[in-house]
Amino acid sequence: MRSWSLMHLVAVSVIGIASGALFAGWNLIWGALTPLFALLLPLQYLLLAGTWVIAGPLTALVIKRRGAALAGEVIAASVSFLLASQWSIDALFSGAVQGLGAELVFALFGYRIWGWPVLLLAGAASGVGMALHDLPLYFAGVDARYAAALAAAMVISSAALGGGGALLLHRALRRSGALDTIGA
Amino acid sequence: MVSSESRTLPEIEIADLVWQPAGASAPILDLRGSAARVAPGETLLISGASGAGKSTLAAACAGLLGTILPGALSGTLRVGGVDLVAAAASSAPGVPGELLTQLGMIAASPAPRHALPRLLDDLALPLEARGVAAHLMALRAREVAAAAGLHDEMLERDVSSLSGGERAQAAAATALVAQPGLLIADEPLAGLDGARARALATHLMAQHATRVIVSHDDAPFGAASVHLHLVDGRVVAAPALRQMPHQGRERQPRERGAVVLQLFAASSAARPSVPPLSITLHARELTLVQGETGSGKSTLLGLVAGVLSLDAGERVASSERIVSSERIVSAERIRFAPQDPGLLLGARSVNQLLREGERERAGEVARLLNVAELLDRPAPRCSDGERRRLALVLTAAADPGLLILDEPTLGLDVDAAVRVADLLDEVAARGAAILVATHDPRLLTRGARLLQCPAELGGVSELSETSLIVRGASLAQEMLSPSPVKRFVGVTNPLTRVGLALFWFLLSALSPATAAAQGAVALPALLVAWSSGVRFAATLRLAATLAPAIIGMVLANLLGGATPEAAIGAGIRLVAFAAGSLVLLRPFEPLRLADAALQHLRAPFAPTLTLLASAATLPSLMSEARERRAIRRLTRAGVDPLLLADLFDATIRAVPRLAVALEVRGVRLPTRAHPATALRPSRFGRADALLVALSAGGLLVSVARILFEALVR
Repeated sequence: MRSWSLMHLVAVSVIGIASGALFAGWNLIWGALTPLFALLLPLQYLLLAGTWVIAGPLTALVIKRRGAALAGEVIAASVSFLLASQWSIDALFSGAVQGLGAELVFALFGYRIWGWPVLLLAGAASGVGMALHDLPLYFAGVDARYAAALAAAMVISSAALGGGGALLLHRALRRSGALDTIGA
Repeated sequence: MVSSESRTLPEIEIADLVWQPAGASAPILDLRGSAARVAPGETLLISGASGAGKSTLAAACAGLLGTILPGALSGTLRVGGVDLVAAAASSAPGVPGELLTQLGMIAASPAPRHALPRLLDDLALPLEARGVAAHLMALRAREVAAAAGLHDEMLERDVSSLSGGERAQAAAATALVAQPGLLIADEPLAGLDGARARALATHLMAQHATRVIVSHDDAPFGAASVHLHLVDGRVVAAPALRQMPHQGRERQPRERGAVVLQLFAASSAARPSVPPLSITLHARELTLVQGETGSGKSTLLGLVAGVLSLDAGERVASSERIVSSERIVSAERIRFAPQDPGLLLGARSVNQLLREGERERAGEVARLLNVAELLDRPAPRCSDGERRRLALVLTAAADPGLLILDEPTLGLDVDAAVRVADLLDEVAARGAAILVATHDPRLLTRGARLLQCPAELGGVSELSETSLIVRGASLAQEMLSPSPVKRFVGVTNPLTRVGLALFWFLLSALSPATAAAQGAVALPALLVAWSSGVRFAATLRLAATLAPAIIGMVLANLLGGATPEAAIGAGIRLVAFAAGSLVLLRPFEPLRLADAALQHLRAPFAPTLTLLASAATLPSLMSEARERRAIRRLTRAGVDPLLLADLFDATIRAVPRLAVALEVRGVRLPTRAHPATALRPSRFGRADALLVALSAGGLLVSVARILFEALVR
């Protein structure tokens, strides 16, 4: 397994921090839309939730190394928590389980395969992490069908926005030549 | 400290050196057929035009090429007996250790050269990494800062609040603080005026070290033993004499037209070190602004363009009167090409960025600047000089009423610069007012007005120190240094606060999701937060932002079939989480937290410092994103969906600079056997004990409530 250089450390923390700023903005948008979607919360999760898991797949895709997905997502979550988050310090734990989900998928493929199926799967795994974390903590009392709808929304959204979004962003960065400057 | 006189200094051997960065199609430094040897204690001076490969050669001598910076290095390069070509080939994780301990580097300007925001911390970092005892550190930092020409009080300031010249002195101090045997200095005098430049040059030449100095002006370093002059990445025997170009055509002096825009004593909180500026711009007139780096030229341009927030003074655009932070909508067709063309172009081609009806004029301008075939090429695939001209095409294509350009000829060759001068003449003749910040005498044509910044811009050159310090309380400082008001919670150790925030969080997460149970956690947590200095108003603001989330959560739970009690409990859980986190959040001090983590939790040095330095870039990252958006708003209508890709693009491009800054300070040096030392000891005191006791009291209240409930049942 290739080791981390200082460049990789800086890349992961800087991308994580930029993603965290994005998450914080997303938190505000989410908060503003919550009353609107209160009756259709699964729909809000389906349309928006996946953006919160983009940091893990993105950092992993950029430096392609063990631990990058987990580290990137946790750093992003900490910044999101410190800037503005209605979930307070819990954002950190959400980030950890979501990053762990993506990390496990990349590990499963030996950190060697980075095509879109793997990315979608990693995003979906982040969504599974989100469901495992959010449902018992915030939706303990709801019935099984509603919980299943929420979980499905989280997984689909995370696969599309998190995994797919990371892939699109990475392609744009590859095209612009930014990734060459860090040798990724 | 190691006695600086007794060491053997490194020797430098260069021969046939070729460097091709990752992703480049050809080498940017190609010294095949040239060789140089710099004996221990001697000086290698590298000169040449910008873009000639000077910085690249300096980075090579520092051992950064192929190790920190990705690419292929070939030929011969030995520094102090270390084979740097072999190190690059074996993809070493950074500068080889035996070289790193001796290295001091002033990185390329004008990019920020510091790793940590406050000067004293940045100065102490190389000493911490080398395990210098704490009591020697502050002494050494003061000594080296004074020797570089800095005042004592500047040590406590943010490097970003210093002027360009002071920043150059600060960079020199940081490079010299650990008494390097190998000193690499890339344009060390940039931004310094005559006397201070000579003083710093003498100081650098007096060091007991082997030196590699990059300078466009070799006069201050007259004693250099080896001199390499580079042109287009190759060594040229003698500096080629540049002839002033023959001006394309005779320019007719023009009558200037009506006033297009005026600025009165304008200043921006985002640029605290720049004095208030005033200027009047007329139609059909080319105004050139000169002045040393950091004198406020770019600030002036940003204020005129309206992309910097105007926090004092006035900005009047023709008939419209715009006071304070109000932003002008592009009624005057103002166009702005900032010094970094990337801010304007991002990752796209000019044709993607043009508006309706601008294509014809764009083609015209592009032919004039000789870049017509590049209009469809994405900007990052173009060279720096090409991007600079493409940014000009994009801004001139709108037939602007006011055209603002920051260093439009930087790094351009004579032919291209003359073409730019011709274009400016033509644009002014079409009726535009043009404002250009430049160092380039080639743009100074007949009919142009030349102003010195800040002297001729109504700026006061003597800055009031108090106002500077007050305004220097920037976002970065707020985030990264201890709050000036030492509130009770401020003197507790950040680790205590993190621990307590986790404690309250876990208590809430493990308690059942009922209103009573969550309330029993939230209430004592809030009381602890209030008693530890969190203000009531802050709590109210937080509650207001939390309210929609809580209402949404309760409704969704009810809809999902939860009992009202469980639904309300889920909502109150958000309050409980927030209450506990308040203790941690206000004030948040990454620097003290990092100190505590390094000293008490034995956090690894390099990753901790990397996180800290990256976090410090967040404010500048956000202000850059804002600036980008404002600049784009001038050239493009509507929202910009690709801004996100651009933001990450800018973020990633900042990575190499930060990695180099951390590397040359030696963050990888500490090992288990030789741990880093700390400038500030992190201690636990009475305040910590009190905060823990309060929380324990809160816990008792919670337990008592549970017992009481059990008894009643």
